[in-house]
Amino acid sequence: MPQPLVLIGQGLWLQMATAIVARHLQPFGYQCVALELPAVIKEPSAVACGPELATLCKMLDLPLQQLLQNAKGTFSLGSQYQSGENSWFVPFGHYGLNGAAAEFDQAILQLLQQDPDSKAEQFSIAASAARQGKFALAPANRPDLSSALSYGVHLHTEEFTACLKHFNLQHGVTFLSSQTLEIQHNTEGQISSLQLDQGTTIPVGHCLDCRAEPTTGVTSRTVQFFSAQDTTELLQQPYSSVIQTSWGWLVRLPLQQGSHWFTQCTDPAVDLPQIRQELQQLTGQTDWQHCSRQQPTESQPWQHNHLRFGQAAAALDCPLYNGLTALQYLVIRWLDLLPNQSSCPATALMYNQHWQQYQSEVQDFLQLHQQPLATKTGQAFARLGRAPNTETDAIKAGQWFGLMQGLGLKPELSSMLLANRTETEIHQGLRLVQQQIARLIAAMPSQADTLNRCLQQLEH
Amino acid sequence: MEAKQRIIILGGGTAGWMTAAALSRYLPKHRFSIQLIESAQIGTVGVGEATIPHIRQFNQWIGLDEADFLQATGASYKLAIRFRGWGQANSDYYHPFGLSGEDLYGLPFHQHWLWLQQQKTASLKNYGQYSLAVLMAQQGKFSRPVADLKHPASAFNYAYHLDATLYAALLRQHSIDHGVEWLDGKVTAVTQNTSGDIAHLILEDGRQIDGDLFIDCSGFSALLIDKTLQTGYDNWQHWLPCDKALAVPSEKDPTPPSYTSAKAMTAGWQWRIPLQHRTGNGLVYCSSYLSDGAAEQELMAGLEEQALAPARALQFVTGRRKQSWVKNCVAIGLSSGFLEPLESTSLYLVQIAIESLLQYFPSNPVGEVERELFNQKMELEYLRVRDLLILHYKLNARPEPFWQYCAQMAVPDSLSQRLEMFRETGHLLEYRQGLFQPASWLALYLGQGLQPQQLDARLSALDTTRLQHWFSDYQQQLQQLVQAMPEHHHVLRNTELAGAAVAPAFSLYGHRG
Repeated sequence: MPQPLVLIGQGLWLQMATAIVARHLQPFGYQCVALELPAVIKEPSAVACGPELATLCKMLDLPLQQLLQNAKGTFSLGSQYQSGENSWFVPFGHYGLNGAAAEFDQAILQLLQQDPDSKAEQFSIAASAARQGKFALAPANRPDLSSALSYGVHLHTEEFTACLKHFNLQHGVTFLSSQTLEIQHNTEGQISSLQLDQGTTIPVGHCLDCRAEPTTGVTSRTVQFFSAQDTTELLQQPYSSVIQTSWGWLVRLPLQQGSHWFTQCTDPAVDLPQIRQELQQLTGQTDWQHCSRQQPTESQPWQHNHLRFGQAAAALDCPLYNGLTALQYLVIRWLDLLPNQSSCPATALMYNQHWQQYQSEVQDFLQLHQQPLATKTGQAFARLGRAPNTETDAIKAGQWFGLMQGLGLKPELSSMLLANRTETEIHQGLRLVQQQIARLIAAMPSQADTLNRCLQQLEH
Repeated sequence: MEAKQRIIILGGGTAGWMTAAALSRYLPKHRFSIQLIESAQIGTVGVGEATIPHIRQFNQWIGLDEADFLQATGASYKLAIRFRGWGQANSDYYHPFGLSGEDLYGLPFHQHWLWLQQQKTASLKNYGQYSLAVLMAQQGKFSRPVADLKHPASAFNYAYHLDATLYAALLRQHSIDHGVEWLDGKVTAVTQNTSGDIAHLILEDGRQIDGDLFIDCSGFSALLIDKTLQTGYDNWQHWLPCDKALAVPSEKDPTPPSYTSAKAMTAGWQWRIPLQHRTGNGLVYCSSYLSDGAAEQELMAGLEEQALAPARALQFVTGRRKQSWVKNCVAIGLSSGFLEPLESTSLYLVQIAIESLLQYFPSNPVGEVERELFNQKMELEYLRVRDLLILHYKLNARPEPFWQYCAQMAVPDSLSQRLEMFRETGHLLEYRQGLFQPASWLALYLGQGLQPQQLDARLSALDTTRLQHWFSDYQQQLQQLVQAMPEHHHVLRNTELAGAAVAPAFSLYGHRG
């Protein structure tokens, strides 16, 4: 009999981790128990999911259309950034139409160098479609386009959570709830059982802990979090908006009805009234919710049979990077290694090292937003126009490139792998791609049409 | 008009000419001049007779036609390395350029194989028998891989055995045709400017060769990177204790196998590399455990064909230059480090260095960013190859004193963690940067008898009988595919038999890898 897997936490993260575990392990006879605990931190009202959600939905056999319908979702091809007068798009998909095309990004950079009026997004089908309010899934006869048109979704958190809980109940997950929790350890430091309200005890093989709040002994920092909602309908925007502020970045996620604003500040010397004032000026919104919360800053997620996925994901969670993506990654990678024993220190060590890699790639991406040239990645791009070789897909190649060129980093050196091509050859090649992109977009429906079609399919 | 950037390549072995060929292919002649200095008085080591599939991409990159290449270098095709006597005296396994089996029920194939082995399934064959590349190598067959990912023949790749001297000659001609200036001369002095950059080289005949960027391909002598710039060396002999080699050519095998042979010996291992016109042989050994005389005797006794020349001796210190790029000097090849040719990685490491140099190509003067990126990349590549090489030695139960030392030696943390993880759960974690992926690690773990203590927790829920049927059917399908393939030696004579060439996959294991 497999060891019992117990998931603990609350809200979206608990339901998502449970859905992944239940779907993966149900065919193997596992019984999953999800223990719902009281929420310590209020979840943001909307969530931006990256392209991994579409893959995950296929894996779970959970129709994405259903999520879009129930959670008032919209599509997202990436993020539209605004910094003062400058604006640029950071797509999920790669630039160009062939992801394997060597040095395509370098060719774009050369063009930008020679022709300051050109924009990188002319060579991104995602950016070009987003600008025109268009959205389509890559057609079945063009699988080559699916990566360039990688998309995420914006969903209403509460309804998304409810969908997942329904899914989990259908998959036989046992739900428990408790106001209190006491974790019992054995002499080797493993969790042996969980003690709930009124003395109920449940045995544990592995405990998948989805709680985001830092526990005693975990270093953390204070984050000031602001959110607001407005009713403006933005179906013509299949993307998130990211606006630079004096303290960081403000993110807007459009849903089917209205949109949601989020920003956070980690500067301890922050002037909260001034932030409110600036937010009001930038958005016209007056009703800003504010909360102060503790965010873990370190994580070794796999410790004995205790998987602290929530804390690890929370260490990255911010308006610019959704912790849910990190949580999904943590759970799936752990399931890949599903051990038959509660203690496997070498496996845990390797897993944690791999997680450090993921975490450092995300942190690098976030740091780029603040001080691009203070990071090795920014310096490398500013010198050579190349994004780093990464060990994970935490940040997609198109996102690295889109962000760094958008932030105004211009490489000092041009690619030697293109040095034998004439300027005319490079420009002609780029124009050809641009024309192909334009033709594809001309035939593309608007996001509103695609969304309607998706929802109608569900009704039929 | 801006002055041309002057690139000086010192050394004309395989590394030097590969570098010259690639740089002359990409760097425009109106902006760069490339000179290669080679001394007829200094021989080359001639590394890299056995290669891995990446060499195909390099050849394609510089515009070498495969048929021309095969003819000019006397090359044969290579699908695997056969390891005999590794782990245990009677072991015999292949490290193929290919994957084994398919993932089933969301679990990797090897977990199922280990599970059936634990269940003592009578029909279960050796792990290698579920690899198309192994079956082809064992049965002397050859065909090119296909790009259709649904086809089992997309799960393997191929490389070559080649004559390194002939390959260098082919690349030399190719480079000269592309504008590389070839200078015959021996460097007697190196001059640095006040910043420490190399300014020029003085040749024995008094010529002064000025340069902006110097590529040190001077082999073990590391004339620029070490003798001039004193970069220092990380010695890895405590993990890879072999320090000498003997090499001898023998007559050709009329039906050359499509695999490299690596046979464990008393205090090292013997290689056999079948070419079209001769066979390359050698013994890599540890001089603390085997005398030179005994080594020669062992090598000669192990030859399968008549020797064509006396054995040539080599001495080396396994390890890596602390930095491959210092000031305005980039070390490529043996000047940058030495790893024994057990996994045929010498030319791969040269190729990766060249590709990285082109990616991070500097301005004049060189910037810190490109130097650092290049050095980081090369360090990672060397370390990851090193760990797999150490594994060959570490995992053994042989009785000889040399092998007992290896079995008991401490290994780098990066390797011991990886090993321990497999022992615990039978699982592997792949990395993206670096050469060897789980398929390679598995070939070694399982080939050298490492058994995990536990397997994936899901296996016990599976229907063993259904699994057994799947394994039998799959193996039969592979056997049928192999039977329909032409003989390797026929393909070598008639290259058109090999089937339509597809673009090489930049992976050891083919398009699926």
